[in-house]
Amino acid sequence: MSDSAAVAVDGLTLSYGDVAAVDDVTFQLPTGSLVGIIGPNGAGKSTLIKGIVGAKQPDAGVVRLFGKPAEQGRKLLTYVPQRGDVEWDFPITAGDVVRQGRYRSTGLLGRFSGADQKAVQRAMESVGVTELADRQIGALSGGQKQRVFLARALAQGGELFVMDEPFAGVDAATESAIVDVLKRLGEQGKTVLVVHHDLVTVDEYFDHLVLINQKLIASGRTEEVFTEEVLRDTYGGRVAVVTRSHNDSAAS
Amino acid sequence: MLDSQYIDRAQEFFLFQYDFVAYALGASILVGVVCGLVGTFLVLRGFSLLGDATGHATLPGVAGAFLIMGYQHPAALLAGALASGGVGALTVGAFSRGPRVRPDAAIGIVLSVFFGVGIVMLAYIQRTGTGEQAGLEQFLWGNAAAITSGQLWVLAAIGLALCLAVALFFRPLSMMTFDENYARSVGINTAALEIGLLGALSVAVVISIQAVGVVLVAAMLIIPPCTGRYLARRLSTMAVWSMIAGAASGALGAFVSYLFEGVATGPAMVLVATAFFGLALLFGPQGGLVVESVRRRRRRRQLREGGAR
Repeated sequence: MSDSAAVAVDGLTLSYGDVAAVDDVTFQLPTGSLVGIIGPNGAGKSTLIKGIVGAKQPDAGVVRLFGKPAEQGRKLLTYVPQRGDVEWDFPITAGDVVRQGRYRSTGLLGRFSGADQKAVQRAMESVGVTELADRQIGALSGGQKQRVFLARALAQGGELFVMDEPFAGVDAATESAIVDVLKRLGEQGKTVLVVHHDLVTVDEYFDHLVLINQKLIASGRTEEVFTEEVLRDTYGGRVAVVTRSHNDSAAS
Repeated sequence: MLDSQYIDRAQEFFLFQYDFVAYALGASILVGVVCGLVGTFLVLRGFSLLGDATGHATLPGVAGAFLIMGYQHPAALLAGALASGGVGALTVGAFSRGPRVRPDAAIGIVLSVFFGVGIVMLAYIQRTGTGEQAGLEQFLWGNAAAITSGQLWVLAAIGLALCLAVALFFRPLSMMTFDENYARSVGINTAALEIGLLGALSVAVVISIQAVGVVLVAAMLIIPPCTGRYLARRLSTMAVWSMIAGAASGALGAFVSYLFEGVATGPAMVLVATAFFGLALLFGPQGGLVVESVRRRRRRRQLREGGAR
C-alpha cells in the first residue's frame, strides 16, 4: 500500500516554538485522488502542507512521496502557496511569476527553450490570465493572483499538486477556473491536495478527505469519512455547519 | 574670487589632474554599483536596517586590526572590518530568533553597542598614538581620496566577484524574496541562500566603508534601490536602475566632496543619492507622486464625464 501511495505521512509533528501545530499525524493518500484537507482555523492544515512540500522542517516523523524519501519525491511535487504568504509588493509581472514555474528545469542560468515558453503560454491560457502577463502582480485582484499562481503550478507540471486554500476569498469566475483545473488534473491521473474551508462543496470537489485538528481525526474516501460524527470531532461543538451543508448538498 | 577657485577645482577633477582623483572616482562608482545591487535584495527582503547595523559593526574590526598590526595595513583593516561586521550581522540574527527581542530592537542593540565600542577604541588609539593612526577616523565618514591604486584594484576585483555571484543566484534570490515557501518547495536551500545574502551584504559594506564611511554606508544600500523601485516594474530593471543611481551618486558625490574642501565623501554621496531619490519619488513612472496625481485626476475627469451623460 505504502508504495502505491502518492503521499505517505508517518508520525509527522511540526511545531512553532513549543506549540505543536501538527501532532503525530499519520495517513496515506492513494495516487490519482483529489484530496481535501479539512479542519477549523488553527488546526494546522497549512503547517501540515508546508511539512509535505518541504517549506517547514518537521520535528519528528517521515514524509514519503511516491514511495521515495521526500527530498527525492519532491521533484514530482508542485506547490501553490497561500496568497497571504507572498510578498505582493515585489516588483514582478504576472508573466514572470508563471515563468518561475520553469526555473527548476532551466536551473540558475539556463535559457528558456521554446518548450518552456510554450508551457508558460499554455498554462496562462488555460486559466485565462494571458492578457495579464505584463501587469504588476501586486496590482491584480485576489482572484487574478490566485489564477496566476495556478498557472505557475501548471507551467511547472508534476504528479502531485499541493494547494493551500486556493478558494479563499476568490470570485465565482476564479472558483470555477480552479475547479476546472482540479478536474483536468484528476482526469490526467494526477494527485491533488487542497486545503479547503467550505464544507458545502467538499463532497462535490474531493474523493478523499483528511480531517485534522492538530491530531488526525480521520482520513479516507469522502463518502466514508464525511459524516456528522467525524465533523463534530473535527470542529468541536459547531455542528450547525454540518446540518446546513448536508441540506445544501441534498437540495442541489 | 571664490567662484574661480571652484572652477579650478572642478577642472582639476574632470581633467584627472591628480591620479588620486581617478582612484577616488573609481572607488566611489564601485561603491554605488555594488551597494546598489546587493541593496536591491536587502530592501525587498525588508532587511534595510541590517545594512546599517553591519556598517556600524565594522568599526571595532577596523580599530582592532590597527591595534594588532600597529599601522594601517590595508588587507588587515578589510579583514577586521569583515570579521566584526559579520559577527554583528549574525548577532542580529541570533537575538531576533530568541523569544524576547524583535529584529528592530536587535538591530538597535548591535548597531549602538558595536559602534560605541569602535568609537572608544578609536579614542584609545588617538591618545596612545604614534602618528600612524592619522586618517583612521576617515572610516567614520569616508574619504575616497585616500584610496590608493593598489587598494582600488583589490576592491574592484572583490566587487566584481560579488556582482557575478549575485547575478549567478539571481533567480533563486528573486524567488526566495518573492515567495519563500514556493522557493523551498522547488528545492532551493533558502537557509544557505540567506546566509549567502548576508555574506554578500558584509562584503559589500566592507569594500565600501573607506569611500563612504561606516556611519552612512547603509544609505548607499537603501536609497538607490528605493530610487529603482519608482522606475521599474521588474526586479531585473529595478536592480539595473539601482546600480545606475548608485554609480551616479558615487561619482557626483566624489566630485562634490572634492569641490567643497572638508566635506567627507560619505555625506556628499548620500545627498546626491537623496536628490536622485527625490526625483524618482516625484516623477518615477511606477507610483511617482506627480504621475499618480495626474493619473488620479484623469480618472476623476473620466468619471465626471461619464456621470454627466
